[in-house]
Amino acid sequence: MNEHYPLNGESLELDANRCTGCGTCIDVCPHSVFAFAKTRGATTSHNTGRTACIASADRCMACGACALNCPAKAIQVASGVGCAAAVINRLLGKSRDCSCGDGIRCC
Amino acid sequence: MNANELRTLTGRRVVFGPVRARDIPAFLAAGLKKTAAMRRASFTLSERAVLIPVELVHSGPLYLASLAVSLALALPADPHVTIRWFFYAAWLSSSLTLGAAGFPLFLPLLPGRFFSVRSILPFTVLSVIAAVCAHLILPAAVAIEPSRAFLYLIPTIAAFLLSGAAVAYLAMNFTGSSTFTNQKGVEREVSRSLPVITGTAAIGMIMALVWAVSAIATKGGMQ
Repeated sequence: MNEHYPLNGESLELDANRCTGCGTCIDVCPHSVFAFAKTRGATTSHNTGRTACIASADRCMACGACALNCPAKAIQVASGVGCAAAVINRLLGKSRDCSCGDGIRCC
Repeated sequence: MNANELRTLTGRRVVFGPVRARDIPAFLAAGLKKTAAMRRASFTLSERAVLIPVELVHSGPLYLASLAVSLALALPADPHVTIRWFFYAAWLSSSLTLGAAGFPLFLPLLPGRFFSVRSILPFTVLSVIAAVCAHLILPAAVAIEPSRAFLYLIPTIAAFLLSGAAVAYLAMNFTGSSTFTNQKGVEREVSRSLPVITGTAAIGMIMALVWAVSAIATKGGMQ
């Protein structure tokens, strides 16, 4: 199945030095982009003995759930409405995100 | 949802459940444990198929426009205009249906990465079918001497260009419904594909307009 799309995961960044290894990113990611890295023992600042890593960046759809919920603010990703109509509307300077009806919060 | 903010505001612990609501009973029964399948967002055939009505409704204005454009392509208003109108309307509306309904169904099987590029294969299939139909239908529906029959290539090429632009645009717009596209990628796709799509559509529309004006100005004088 061809479920690859250009630039998937390109904007995703994980600061391993800030990561506390809580695993929230692994819990919230709907594409299993994250995994636990090898145990780092007591070297992590929060002493959880583990840290997260980006295991499959090409599966990232930049939904932003990881960055939003990371308690250590260790993750950054450029998320936003990603339908072509919304992108075109932004290029045209229109305020509405996309072609979905007024008052509907989609995407 | 920002779980940290919710925790701060309510003091309650937040548990992230499965991606799909239908998995919640199993998630609860398992003591708030998720399986790997519960964690993953999928985009199965049935999940894509339920989006088709929305895509078709959003394409409604394009269907109406295709009727008007097909009438322009079907001119001059001779006794065969109805069958030509039917032919071009069927071609253009099939293109819209292909983009709004066919593309979502076949999405994972189509080659390419940009959605507009993935639309090339189904568009090619449709164009071959349309070309065969044109070969079968148009000669009988063109009441002009054979030496001038080539003129009907103009509306046919216009329909081909408009069909391609329609399929590619609707395919590209399906990025908003998929579960594996990202904003930066869509921005790149729009920046690269939109000029081609709008240029193709513009050429098709100009050809249709010139054809219609010419047919009206000569009062059926294409014959």
